[in-house]
Amino acid sequence: MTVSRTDFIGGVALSVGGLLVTLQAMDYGLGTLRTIGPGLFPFAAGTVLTILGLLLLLSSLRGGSGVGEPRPPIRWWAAASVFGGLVAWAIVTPRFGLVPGTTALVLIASFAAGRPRPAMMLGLIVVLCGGGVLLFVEALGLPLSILKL
Amino acid sequence: MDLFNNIVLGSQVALAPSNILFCFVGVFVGTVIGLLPGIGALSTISLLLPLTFYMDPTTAIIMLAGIFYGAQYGGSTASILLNIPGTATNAITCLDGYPMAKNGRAGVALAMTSVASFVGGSLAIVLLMVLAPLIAQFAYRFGAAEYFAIMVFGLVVASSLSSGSRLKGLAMVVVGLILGGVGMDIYSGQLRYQFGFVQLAEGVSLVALVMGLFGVAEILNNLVLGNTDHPRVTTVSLKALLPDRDDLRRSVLPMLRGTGIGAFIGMLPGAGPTIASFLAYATEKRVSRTPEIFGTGAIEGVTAPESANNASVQAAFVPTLSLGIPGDPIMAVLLGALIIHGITPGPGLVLERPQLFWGLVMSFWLGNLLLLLLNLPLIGVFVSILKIPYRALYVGMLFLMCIGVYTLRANIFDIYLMIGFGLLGFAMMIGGFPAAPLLLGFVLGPMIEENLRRALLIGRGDLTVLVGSPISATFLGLTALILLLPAIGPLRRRLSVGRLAE
Repeated sequence: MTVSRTDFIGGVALSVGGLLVTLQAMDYGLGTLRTIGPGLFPFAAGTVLTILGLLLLLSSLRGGSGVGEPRPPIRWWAAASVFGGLVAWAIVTPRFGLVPGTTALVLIASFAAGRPRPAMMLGLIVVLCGGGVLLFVEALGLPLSILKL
Repeated sequence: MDLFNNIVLGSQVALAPSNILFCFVGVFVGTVIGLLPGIGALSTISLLLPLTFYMDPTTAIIMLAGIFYGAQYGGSTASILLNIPGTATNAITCLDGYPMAKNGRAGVALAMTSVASFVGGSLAIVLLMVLAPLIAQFAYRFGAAEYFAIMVFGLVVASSLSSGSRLKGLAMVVVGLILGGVGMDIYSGQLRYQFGFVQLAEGVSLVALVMGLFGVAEILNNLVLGNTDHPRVTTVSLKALLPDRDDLRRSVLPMLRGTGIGAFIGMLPGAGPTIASFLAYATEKRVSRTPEIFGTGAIEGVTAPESANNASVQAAFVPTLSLGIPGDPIMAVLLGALIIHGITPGPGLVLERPQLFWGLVMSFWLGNLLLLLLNLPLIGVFVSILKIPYRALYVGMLFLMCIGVYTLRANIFDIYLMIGFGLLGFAMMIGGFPAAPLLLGFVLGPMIEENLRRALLIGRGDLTVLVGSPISATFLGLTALILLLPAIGPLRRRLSVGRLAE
C-alpha cells in the first residue's frame, strides 16, 4: 500500500535517473584511480542518486516524510498559462521580433492569476515592450529585432 | 598597519562615483524587492546578472551584494505591515512585528528593525574585515584534498539544513553535481551528457538554471499553490516613528545576541539568514524573563531576528570570498557572477586583488549606512509600493526573465533550457524537494571533481590521500557524522526496546 504517492514517484524518478546517469557514465571511461576519467565522477554521483532514490522509495512505502502532506489544490491551468506564455515568447520572438513575442507572453501568461483585465494587459504590453526596447536593444545593444514581418 | 592601508584602499574604490551609484541602486532595488512578497533577492540578482556583464566586476558585485543585504532591510517592512514576510528570512519578524503594528506601534517596529539591521550588519562587517584575510592566509595551506573535504562537508550541511527531508536535500545536491558535469570535460575533451546539443558544450548556463528553478518556480509557487490577494495594509501612524527609551534599552542585548548568532551561522556553508533569525528568536524567548510577551508585540522578538539575519548575510561573504565556498545559494550565484567575470574567488582574491575585496567590504559600510538613512524617511513610499497588484508584477518578471536569459548568448536554446528548469522546479515544488541544495551542488560540482582529480593525481591514485591531512580528515569525519547521526537515534531506540523485551 503506497502511503505517500508523491514520495514514491519522486523515489522512482530519482532511481531511474541515477541509473541512466551511471550507465551513460560508463561509456565515458572511468579511468584509473590515479588519473580519473571523465566518467568516474558522474558514475559515482549516479550511483549515489540511485541509492538515495531507492531509499526514498522505501520510505514512501512506509509512510513518507510527512512533510507538507495536506497540500493546497494545484491550479494546473495557472501553470499552463505561465509555461505557455514563456514558450510563446521563445517561439515568436526569433521569428517575428521582440514586440510580437512579448505581446504573446503577456496575452497568454496573464491568465495565470484569474481572468485578466484588457486594460491591464494593454498597459503591460506597452510598458514591457517599450522598456525592453529602450533598455535592452537601444541601451545595451542586444541583437534582437523589434519587429520583423 | 596592514588593515589601515586596506581600509584606505577599499574606501577609495568604494567611494568612486560609479560604485556609489551602483551601491545605491543595489540597496534601493534590494529594499524594494525585499518589501514585495513573492519576489526574492535570489530571483532579482539572477535577473540583473546579465546586465552586470557590461559593468566592471567590482561595480557589479557591489550592486548585487547591495541587493542581497538590502533585501533583508526591506523584508521586515512587509512582515510588520502585512503579516506576510517579504523574504522567507523575515518570516520570524511577523510573529511580533505584526502585533506591534496592530497595537499602533508600527512606526516603532519599523524604526527599530532598521536600527537592528544596521547593528547586525555593521558588526558582521567588522568580523569580515578581521577574519577574511586571516582565513585567506591560512587557506594557502589548503591543498586539493582539503578543498575537496570542505566542499563535500559544505554540501552535506546544506542538504541537512534545507527544508524538506534530509534525504531529499541530499538527492538534490547530487542532482546538482550531475548537472554541473554537463558539457565538455576540460581534462579529457569528452563531451558529457549533452545529447547532441551543441549549445550545451560549455555546460548548463547558470543564469538559465537559476531563473528557471528559482524565478519561474517562485512565480508558480505564488500563482499555482498560493493565493494572489494581499490583505489590506494596516494603517500606520508614521508620526510615532521614534522608539522610547524603554524600547531602546530592551533591545540592546537582543541585538547583540542576534548579531552573534547570525554571524556564526552565516559563516557556515549552507546555513543562511532564515535559520539565523529563527535561532535568534528562539534564544530570546528562552533567555527572556517574560517569555509570554513573545507573540504579542515584544520588541525583542523583532530586533533580535533582524540583527541576526543581517549579520548572517554579511558573514556569508566570509567563506565565499576567502575560500571560494559559497555559504548560501545567493552566494553561489554571486560566485558564479565573479567566475563569469574571470575572477576566481578564494584566498587569491583577498590577497592578490585587494581592490576588489576591500572595495567590496567598504561598500558594505556605505550600503548599510545608505539603507539606514533610506529606510526611515522613505517608509511611506515603500508602503505605497506594496500596493502594486501581483497580477501585473509577475508578467513583468516573466518578461525580464526571458530577455535576461536571452542577453547571455542571444540563443533561444537558453530560453528553452530555462523553461525546462522551470518545469523541473515545478515538479520539485510538488514533490517537496528543496531547490537550494541543487544550486549549491551545481556550482560546487565541477570544483569538487577538479579537486578530487588533483588530489588523486598528487597521491598517485591512493585514496587515503583524502584523509591524509588533519584538515581534510576532520572535515570528512564531520561529514560522516552528519550523515550518520540521524540514523543513530532510531537505532538506539530499537536496541533499547529489544533489551526491555527480554
